[in-house]
Amino acid sequence: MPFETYVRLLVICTVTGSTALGAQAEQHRTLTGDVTDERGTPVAGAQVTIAGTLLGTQTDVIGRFRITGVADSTVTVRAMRIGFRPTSVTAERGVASVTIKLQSVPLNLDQVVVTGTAGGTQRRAVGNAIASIEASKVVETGVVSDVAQLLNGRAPGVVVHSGSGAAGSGSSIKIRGRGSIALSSDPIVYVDGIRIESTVGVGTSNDANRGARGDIVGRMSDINPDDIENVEVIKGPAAATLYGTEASNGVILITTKRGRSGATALDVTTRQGVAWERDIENRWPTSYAKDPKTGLIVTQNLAQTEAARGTPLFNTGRVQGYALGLSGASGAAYRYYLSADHDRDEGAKVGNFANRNSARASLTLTPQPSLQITGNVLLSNGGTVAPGGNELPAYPTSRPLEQDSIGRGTRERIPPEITRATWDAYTDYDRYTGGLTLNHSPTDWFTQRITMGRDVTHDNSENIFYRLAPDLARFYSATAAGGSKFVRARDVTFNTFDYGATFKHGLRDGLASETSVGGQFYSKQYVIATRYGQTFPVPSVTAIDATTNQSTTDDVIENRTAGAYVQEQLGLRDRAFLTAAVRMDKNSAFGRSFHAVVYPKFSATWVISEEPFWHLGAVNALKLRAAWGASGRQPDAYAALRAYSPILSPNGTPAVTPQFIGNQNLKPERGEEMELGFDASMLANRMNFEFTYYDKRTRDALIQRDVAPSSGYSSGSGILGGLQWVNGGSLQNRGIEAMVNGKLIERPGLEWNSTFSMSTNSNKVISLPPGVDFIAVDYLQNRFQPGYPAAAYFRKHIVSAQLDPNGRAINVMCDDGKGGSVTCDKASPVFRGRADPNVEGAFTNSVRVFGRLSLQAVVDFKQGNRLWNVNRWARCVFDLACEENVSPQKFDPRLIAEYQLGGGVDYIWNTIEDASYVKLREVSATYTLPDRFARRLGAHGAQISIAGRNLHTWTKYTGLDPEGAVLSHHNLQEEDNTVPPLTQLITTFKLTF
Amino acid sequence: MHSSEDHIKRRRGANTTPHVAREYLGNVALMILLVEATACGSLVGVESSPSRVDATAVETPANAALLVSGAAANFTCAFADYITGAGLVSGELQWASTSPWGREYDQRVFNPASGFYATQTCDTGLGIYKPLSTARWQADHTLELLKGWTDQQVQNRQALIATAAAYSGYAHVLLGEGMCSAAFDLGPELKPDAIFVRAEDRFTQALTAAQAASLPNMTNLALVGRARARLDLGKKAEAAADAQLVTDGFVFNATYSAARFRTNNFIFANVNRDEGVVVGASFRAMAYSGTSDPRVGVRNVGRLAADHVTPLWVQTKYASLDAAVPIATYREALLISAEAQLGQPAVDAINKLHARAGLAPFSSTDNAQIMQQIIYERRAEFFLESQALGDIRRLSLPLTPAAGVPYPSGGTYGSQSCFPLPDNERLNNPNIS
Repeated sequence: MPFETYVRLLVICTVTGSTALGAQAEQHRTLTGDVTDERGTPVAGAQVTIAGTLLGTQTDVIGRFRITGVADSTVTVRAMRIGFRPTSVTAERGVASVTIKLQSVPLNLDQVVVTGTAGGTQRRAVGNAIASIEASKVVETGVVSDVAQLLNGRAPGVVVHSGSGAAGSGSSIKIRGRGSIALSSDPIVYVDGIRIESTVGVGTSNDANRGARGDIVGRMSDINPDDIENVEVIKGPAAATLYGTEASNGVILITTKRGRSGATALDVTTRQGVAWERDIENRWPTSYAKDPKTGLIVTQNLAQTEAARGTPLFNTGRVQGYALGLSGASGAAYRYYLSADHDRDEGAKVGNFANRNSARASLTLTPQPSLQITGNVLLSNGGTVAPGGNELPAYPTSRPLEQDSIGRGTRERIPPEITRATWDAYTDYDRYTGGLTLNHSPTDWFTQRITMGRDVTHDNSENIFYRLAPDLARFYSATAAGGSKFVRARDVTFNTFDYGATFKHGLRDGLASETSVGGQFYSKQYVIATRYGQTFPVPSVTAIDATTNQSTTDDVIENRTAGAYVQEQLGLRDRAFLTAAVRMDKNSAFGRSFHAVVYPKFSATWVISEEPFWHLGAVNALKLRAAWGASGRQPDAYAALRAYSPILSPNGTPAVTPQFIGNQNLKPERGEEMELGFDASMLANRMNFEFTYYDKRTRDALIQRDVAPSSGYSSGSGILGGLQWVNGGSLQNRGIEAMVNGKLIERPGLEWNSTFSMSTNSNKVISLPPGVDFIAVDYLQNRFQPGYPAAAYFRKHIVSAQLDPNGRAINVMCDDGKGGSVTCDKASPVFRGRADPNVEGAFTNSVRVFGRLSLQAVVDFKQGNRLWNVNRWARCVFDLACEENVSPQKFDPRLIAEYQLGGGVDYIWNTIEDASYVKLREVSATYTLPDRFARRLGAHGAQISIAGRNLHTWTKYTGLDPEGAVLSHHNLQEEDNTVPPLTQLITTFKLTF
Repeated sequence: MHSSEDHIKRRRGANTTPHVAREYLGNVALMILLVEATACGSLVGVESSPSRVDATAVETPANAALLVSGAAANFTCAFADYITGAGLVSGELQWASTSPWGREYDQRVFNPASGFYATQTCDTGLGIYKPLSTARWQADHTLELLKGWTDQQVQNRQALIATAAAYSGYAHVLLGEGMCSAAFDLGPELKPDAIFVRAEDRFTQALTAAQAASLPNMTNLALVGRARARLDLGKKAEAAADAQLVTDGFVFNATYSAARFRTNNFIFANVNRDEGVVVGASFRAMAYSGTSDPRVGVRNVGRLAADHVTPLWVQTKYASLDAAVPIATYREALLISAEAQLGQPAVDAINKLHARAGLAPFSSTDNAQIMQQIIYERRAEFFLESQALGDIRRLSLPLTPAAGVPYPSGGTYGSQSCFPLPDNERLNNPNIS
């Protein structure tokens, strides 16, 4: 069992370590000091350490630090902060206070980044592009409320698909394109070295195929951004090799805040704001109908008619958050960080809100200079409430001829307040994430680290349609008015055990070696139970037990990985580095005949600007880098296993049914990636460039194949029912990531920083198993077809048509795929477009005035992806409520033909729209109040900020929002009755005591 | 930037490295070995979960009854699906829901790529090929396992063999009567006659085992089943010989329960509960000599079905979600015998059934007329008992409504009277091109 393994390993490691814990008893002193920038401005949050020990702390808001337990001899004090060059000073014996002045360098090659090995690695030695986001700075402005928003636009190559505007909605993330066919392309997530549950698309829907609009929650949103110090993104297999067999779609590493030494500091933060659907009455579509009595065309924009009668579809939600953070130290060398947080964000739908309560404790002990123990515990709970569900308050089609009726023209003939009164959708969760990290560095040349922890999530989703009294029942069918309830409960447990050790030794002059070894064990378990019941006996009863038609499911999905790695890094004069590593993994989902997987990696860097021959004065720093590596992605748990599942026989005897055919040769899909790039700093560090080219191949891609029914295994229920996992096919993702950052103005009292970042992604299917022309996925049967982008839209394309005098389309011909045309019944679908953007990026400007006022604006964009506008399709094809339906002669006959052929989803060419956009994503102003104001409040620091989010969109997309896609589909992007993202305006006030 | 002091420190560290480093490396290596060693065992072992059990752990003699029970449960579920789906094709039933899924059966226009008959399972409803194939495979696979085990290993082995073989036989019969062609164990595409030969073989095995174990009920089941398969094969004399051995009053039922979707009587669920399927027009007023035929239990509820268009004619043969459905009966044996023999024995058989139903006696000496009456008797006796579609194909009876008649929700009725081999079999079976 995993826990026993922990204990066994812990004992071994402790014994291992104890031989080196022989620190001598000696005199100790307390060292205090200040860290400032080159102009003397205090630098908060700088890491200050005593070289050769694990003693250290962070500076407080006024740049002060205090370290106890320092040997009373001459020591080297080192200060580091992202954006500054690490600087060391010597504190002689008896000296109690030092000042460290840091020089700002946007390109910081000495920054230590997390790469999977013990102790981390200096940026100069890392052959990959590294996205490192200083979360605490961003969060201060109040502009983000979850991790996905934190990543959006701040890490080139990381594409965030925003969720809906329903309160509590999560987002999905793809890094460097879609790398899998049958598996999701989501990255994996670590918090302080612990793997955590980050499923996207959890929620109240019981429709597994489509219309899963209730599945809005992303479990990564449970993490309170206030608690995050830093986020690093490991983008692809070349960098993720050490993370093993699940990491080929990237790794998100979250580091939470730690305690600071010195005086106890209490941060009190309050966040107050509003959220609304910007300009919704003009974005909402107008519906058309021809009055059969008068022949006149009648229109209705439901958002406008509802607003006019005083019952607007959306209201303005209140956003509020309260956070306490207590940080300090006591006695010799321990420090702590405690935080508590409550957030309650209302959506724009009446009654819709999400709340999150979290408490966190972090304790860092340094019992000896060579040993540091950090424990983190995070408790969190919360949930969402959505009267009337997580969908739009009314479907964006109306019945203009019925606008004066009881249904007020709503498509379902049910006004929004009736939907809210009869239907509730809830989700709630409880979460515990705990971890312990032991860092042991008995000598300069040896560091070892053990991390172990557990992430436990319980979540529960409920959809309740109440049994209705006659006054409400008249709006519904008899079956619906009887009520129903669906409950899905999940218990998710992740266990992590990670050991790593790094040995540094000099080989000969100028040549240094770092050898790292490590082993990891991860397990994850999902226990999922669903219950459904229909028809309650009386209106007040909502117990499933009381329903007449019940069904239940329960399932356990468990997956375990054990792996080990060895890495050798050679550094020549601290300027050129070669790294080679190999990792081996075993996973419980592999087939029995597949023993283990081995992933190698190589990388090289050369800080050419530090070579003696470098004389390009304008270029201060230039690092060239290249990396190649492999990583993987395992199939779903049990995919290899031939299995039966229990069923109930009608006479009540136990029985089993063949469920999965299994595949004993199943192995992980393999991502291999090459990346080349450079980091440069020019004009006395005023301009910085990062450029990366990547080429990622997914081989042995996991695909799900239908099982021939005659084999007996075609009827299995559940996610794998009737399917077999096989390895076959390959995908390619290529692109560039570029970032340029410049200090446009830098003078006393005024700084202006500008950053433009962008990435491209060219993605295509290279091959599929022999005899397979394409793999069609999801409801819309998007295709993985060689030569085309992954999950591409393929549809029949009407290329010519005419209208007869009655407005009926005639002579309709479709694209035959060969440059000609053919009658549409004989036409095959042709390529319509990509599901993912091929260009994304962000333009960020920040201005700092007199050191106290910071202004920032972020514009981000995505280009090249298409989104199926289901709202429009339903309005024009099913409801016949578009202007095209009532006045066909005004429009292109091909469009009219498409709407008239309608019915199925063959003819939706025009409703698969270009979803490119540019958004004014964030605007914020942060002001640090003069000390005298803070002191009046009894504090020694005060900060206020005002931030706006999603303030404007430029797009050709005709739906409500180009980001309003249903979250829970891996391979289909569709806007279908989803609430568009909200606009927010938030004020944050922070006091430090 | 590292200072030169750092380099000096590193070199100094290097000088002290060797013996301690070896010690650490040794410990680390030991630990990795431990991880690896444990990994071979339980750490990353493939384990079963409550809802999925490793097949090798299930397929043991101790689980023989469990496996047979599974085959029976899967057949029972497939049987009710088949009666509903094939009933829509034969005209016993009519689709009356706004949802389009059942139209293909009703309209007799099948889509081998995405049709429900091809893609749906017992857990989702209205499947034909998948549920029957699953039941057939499990029965056959269990039969082979049972034959490999001994009487010492498995209690009641002969009874279990008889049961597994009989369910396999019935799954074969329905595949032969309903499908235009089918495949078995990833083998080649077989036409109905070849399928009925396989069915006959399974019933023979069932009969042998049932007789060896002296199990009268299973013996009767195997006899009725083999008689049906032989009738389908045109082996009338052998069919009659089997049928005549069946005990008077014999009934073998498929049992249903309200406990789960897959254990429901789907006929009741679709027609009476969900009101999305109604009794077909040609079965709403069946009468003999002016007397309404009580064997075809129907009722006009007096309102519209779920599509708000079709009058809600419900069946009354099955009164609840847990109503049992006959798989094999003495009644069937009588009519098989009658069809094989014709003449006075057939008239006697018909009158035996009429007497039970309270209908006037039938008399004729004209075999053609007698055959027409047998066809009527089969429609009435076996209403919603899985026989109607097989009869249409075996006896080349006209489809009702006829092909080409306009279909209420667009298009016309098709002429397909069997389910074509689904694409999921054609594309994933290496022995079918």
